[in-house]
Amino acid sequence: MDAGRADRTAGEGGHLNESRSAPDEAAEKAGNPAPFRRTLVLVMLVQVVTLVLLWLLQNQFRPS
Amino acid sequence: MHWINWVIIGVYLAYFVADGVRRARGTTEIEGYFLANRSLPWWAVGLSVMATQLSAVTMIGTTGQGATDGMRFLQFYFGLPLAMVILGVTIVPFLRGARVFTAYEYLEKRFNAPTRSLTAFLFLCSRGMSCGAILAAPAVVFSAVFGWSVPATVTLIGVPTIIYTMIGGVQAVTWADVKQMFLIVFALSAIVIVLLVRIPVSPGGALHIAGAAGRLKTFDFSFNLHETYTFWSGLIGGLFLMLSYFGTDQSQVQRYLSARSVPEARTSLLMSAYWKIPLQAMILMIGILIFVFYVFQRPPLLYNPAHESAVRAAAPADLAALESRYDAALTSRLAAASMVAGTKRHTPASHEAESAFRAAESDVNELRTAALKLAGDVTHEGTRDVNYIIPRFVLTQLPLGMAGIFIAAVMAAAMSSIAAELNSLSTSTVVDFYRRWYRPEETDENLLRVSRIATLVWGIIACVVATYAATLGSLIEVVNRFGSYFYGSILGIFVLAMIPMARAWPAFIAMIAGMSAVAAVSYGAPSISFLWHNVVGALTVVVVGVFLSAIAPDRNRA
Repeated sequence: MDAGRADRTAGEGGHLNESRSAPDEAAEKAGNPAPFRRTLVLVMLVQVVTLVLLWLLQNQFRPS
Repeated sequence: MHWINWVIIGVYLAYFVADGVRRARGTTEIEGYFLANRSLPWWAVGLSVMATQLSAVTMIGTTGQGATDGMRFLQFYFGLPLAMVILGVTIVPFLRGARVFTAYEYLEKRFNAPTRSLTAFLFLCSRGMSCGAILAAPAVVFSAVFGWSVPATVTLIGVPTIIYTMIGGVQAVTWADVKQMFLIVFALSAIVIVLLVRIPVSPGGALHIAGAAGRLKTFDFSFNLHETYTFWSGLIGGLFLMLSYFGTDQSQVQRYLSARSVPEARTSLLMSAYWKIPLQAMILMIGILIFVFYVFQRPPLLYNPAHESAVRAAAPADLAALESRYDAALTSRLAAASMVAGTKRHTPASHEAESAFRAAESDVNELRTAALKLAGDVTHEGTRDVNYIIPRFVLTQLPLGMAGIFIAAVMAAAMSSIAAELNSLSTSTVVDFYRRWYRPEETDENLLRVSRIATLVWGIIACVVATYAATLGSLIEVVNRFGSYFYGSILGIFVLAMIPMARAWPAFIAMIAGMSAVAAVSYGAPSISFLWHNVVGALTVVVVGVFLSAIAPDRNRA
């Protein structure tokens, strides 16, 4: 592939990688937000639980 | 060190070089060399992202910080999960959709070539220097602990990393990161187990002692701009820093550009969101457990063995006097700690025991400060010895073989970060400068050759910087300060790129304004925590960029 040409055409909506498969393209375009939202909620839940545990540890063993 | 530990380190280094060379097979295009043909699974990319961020400084410095300062440092990462979520819905689909090799390439499409070149240039300067600083940190510690020369230690870590990164490209870097991450977690877990076994009180008693010394205080809700680690500086300043690091730094962007798809790239980032804070808490907890361990075992007065030898040779009488008082203070502290561990928490007896423990701890710290001052007078070097706490513990207290595994893990942490940075430095040099300005029509075969040469050159620069950074301690500070001037501004320019009304030249001017604002804050109010510099830089760029775009629309906007 002509790398220099690809560099320029990419800016006009061209593709640097011409060998990508159709399912990959579809997955990228769709972005599939539903599983991401689920993961997002889980991430936030894990963070809140971690912070609460650290808070409990701090208070349980705070200097008297 | 026992020969078995040396064999473990030798096998580790040989395996990673051989594996990197093996992975180079079939790589004939720069898409494969730089982005693994965008084919990597999310879990490999996620582990690579984490391994890149976890450097030897984390392994050595953060455990030391846990031992001396407790859990407070964890607040630095409070903005990270939110940053990963924001990046997952904003910059990841943006950059993936733009089909770019580097984050800076996107800026030319959105704004203009000068903006792209300036940000890429700033990245090359800061990462080229920080790569050397990352290499210098373990080299300095190992050279003091083992008595080797700094250039020899730099070579031992740097050369294998350069070889496998240069030959194998991003494939070698990512898969090495995955294995290195497992090695790091294994070594850290093993140390936790050893500590729990060797500390002569129950885990509850150990936490009671740590708590009495204030080591378990994680949260500081005061809104103090001059305090580096508070809940708010971590959540707000840390959010901006993490957005900038994971969203605009090529060493991280390149990780998720090599993922199979947008959802996999997002998931790889969320892996850090899940695991970073618990992993960092574990690393700090190791430091805290080492502190408790040394309450029951005699700790060295000076953790840096090179300084200890120098002081013993130059001022033996002064050192002996300090050591005698130190031993007495340690005996008092041990007696008080045993009482703390043996009493029920939140009772009058516990309050009394904790007060006695804190008084004895204060005496121990005073004597350590006096010994560090003496070391400074003798050696004329920096006296902070936090970075020597865990290497000293590992070499003198861990069972046979474990020391070798830990040193291999520290090398793994250094190599994973350096490899990712060399790979991204090479990518930006070739894509943003060589191909953009010099040889736009170059064939893939030639670009691949130039990319490997660029990796080698950046590797040599990193080794040279590391050797000098080791002798000029303040250079690392200069590198960090230099980086903090434009991290926020680079984030600001990417945020500006997502605002439809933003124009090319106003964006360029706004970036200069952002860096100037950070420089003004840094010199005008040097006590303000560096975490807030990122907020100042990013907000200045966005506000100035939007304002200038509104009053002077760019007619030449693409």
